[in-house]
This record gives sequence, C-alpha cells and structure tokens, in this order.
Amino acid sequence: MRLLYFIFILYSINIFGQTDKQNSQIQVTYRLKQVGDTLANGAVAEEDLFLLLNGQKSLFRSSVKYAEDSITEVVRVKSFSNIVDGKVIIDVSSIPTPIFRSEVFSDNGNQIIYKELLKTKFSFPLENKIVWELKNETKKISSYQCKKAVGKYKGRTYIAWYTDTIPIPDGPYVFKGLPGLILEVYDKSDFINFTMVGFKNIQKPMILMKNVAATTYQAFFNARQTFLNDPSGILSTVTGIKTPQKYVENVNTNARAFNNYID
Amino acid sequence: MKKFSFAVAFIAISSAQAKGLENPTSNEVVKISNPKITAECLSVGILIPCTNEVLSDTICWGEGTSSPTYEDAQRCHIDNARGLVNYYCPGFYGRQNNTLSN
Repeated sequence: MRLLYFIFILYSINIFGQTDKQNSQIQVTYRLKQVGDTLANGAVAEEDLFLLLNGQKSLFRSSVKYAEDSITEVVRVKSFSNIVDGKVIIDVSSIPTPIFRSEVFSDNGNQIIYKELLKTKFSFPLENKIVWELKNETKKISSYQCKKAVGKYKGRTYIAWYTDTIPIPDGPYVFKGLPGLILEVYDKSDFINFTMVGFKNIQKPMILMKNVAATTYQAFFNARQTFLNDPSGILSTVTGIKTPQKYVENVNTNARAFNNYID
Repeated sequence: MKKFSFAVAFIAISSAQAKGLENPTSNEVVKISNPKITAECLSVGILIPCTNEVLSDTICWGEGTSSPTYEDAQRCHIDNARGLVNYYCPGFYGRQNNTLSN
C-alpha cells in the first residue's frame, strides 16, 4: 500500500512538475473573429490567441491573458499603495479584458478544456473528439498549400484548412487531430473564425490555469445556465456586492448579449 | 468558531446593507477582536468608469475569512471590481479589437 502511495506521489510530482515548468518551442498566433450576438448579427470582435507547442503538448490561450495577468498585478499594487484623501479607490479600467477566456491543454491528443465563469474556473476533458472528413479541395494560405477537412463540434459544422508542410496535428482551441497544422478553421456561418497570422520559434512558459474545479462539460453548462437565468443575482452573490437597481438592467443585458458560445 | 463565523457573516451583511453609491468613509483597518482569532478589514471603493461613481466595499482577511492574507483579499477585490465594471457598463462585447497590431 505504501509503495502504491509512493508511486502515486512520484507520478503526481512528475505530471504537475512537467506541465508547470514546460516551455514552448513554437508559437502559432491565430486571429479570432467572432460574432457576439448571432441572433442580431451583431458586431464582430477580434482577438489574437497563441498556440504554444512543445512535442506532443500544446497550450491554446489568448494573447490578452498574458497582458491581463501582468497589468492586473500592477493595478493591484498601485491601487493599494495609493491612498487618496484617506481612501483606497480601485480603478480597473486599464486592465484589458480578453474576449476568448477559454484555454485548451493538449497532451498526446488528450485535451483538457479550461473555462471561466465570473470568478470560478472549470476544467473538463474534451468528451467527443472531432471526427474529420478529409476532402480533396486545396487552397493557399500565407504561401502554404492547404487541404480541406470538415468536422462537427457541439452541433456546428466546421471547415478546416490544414497543411502537410507543417506536420503538427494541432490547431486552435479543440480543432486538432489532422495530418498537419490547421491554418484556418471556421463554422459554416462564419460566426467563429480562426486564421493563422504568425508562426515562430520561441520559448514561453506553458502555464496551466490554477485554482480550477475539475468537472464535466455538463456541470459547466449548468452553471452557465444558472448565471444566465439571473445574471444580476448571481453577480451579487459571487462578488458579495448587491447590484444597485440602476445597474440591474445593464448586467442582465450584457450577460445575455453574448450568445455565440463555442463550448 | 461558530460565534466568529456568525460575526463575519454579520459583518458581511452589515457591509452589504451599507453598500451604496456613497464614497467609502476611510481606509482605516478594523481589527475584529476575539481572543483566539484575528481578522482585519478595510473599506475600499470601486470606480465604475461609465458613470464615474464609486461603490463602497469592505475587504477582510485573516482567520475565518476566505482570504488568508491581505494580498489575497486585494486580488479577490480586484476580481470583484472587474466583474462589476464589465457587467455594469453597457456594450462591453463587440467593441473590442484585441489584436496584437492594435
């Protein structure tokens, strides 16, 4: 029993140690274009995201999150050391807010999805990997000859363009598992579109999201539904600050304005 | 411990009742007295940029609170402030261009 325990500890240290200290070898930058409100055919938001690669491992994370982490720390230190007229005033308006808060860590094809909902962080395994149908169509993207593949994810049909020239079976978010790197992937309505805009060799730490509740997709989905049913109430509960009546409508409208969940 | 939990809950309720649109009164650190437990609290304000109003709040740290240290409480409060600003101010989504060239 002791031996088993010892092996488990060693195994845990090895696993967590590796992921915590892992550096990338390659960084692929994708530009996301996403319609927030598909019902109103609303505005398109844009954001650049990084796919950090090292061997069989990859981490997909918004570029804005790196800036968000460092600027949040600067704002915290500055705010609490700057007392004006005997008061600490928190102004978070300089902290950038990512559009795409989800992250994906892939290890040898096994994908873990990380999500954030208000202050809670969730992680769950990708339950159904995308089964790709390879097509004969080709097109050039940034001088790379690409081949077409079609697959379904969470009820939507996605078209992916991958290149054999870069034989890395990876891509943005959960779009992975093709015979080459995905340079472009979008859904049929083009409500979500990832296009590669950069590729370089770079060593960057591949740090996984911390303080995460390991759960299932269904549990995360249920939590999000609970929030959407009563955004101002849940926001009050989570922050401990009762939403003043004058902001209730804004909170509910803002929370429900985005309905284009990639899941 | 139960008594202290109740005290913390009471403080939380009191502070929630006191929270409004007034400016925070001071940054004075309040120590919760209990022979066995020490927790400290601080009044802070959150600026809501779209209305230029300041919401009063209280952060607490130490035993019996969810923040073991002052830094933890600060981080928790920054998270709260960001959540409030993102949802209180209209039109957050769709106006963003978070590309690196931007």
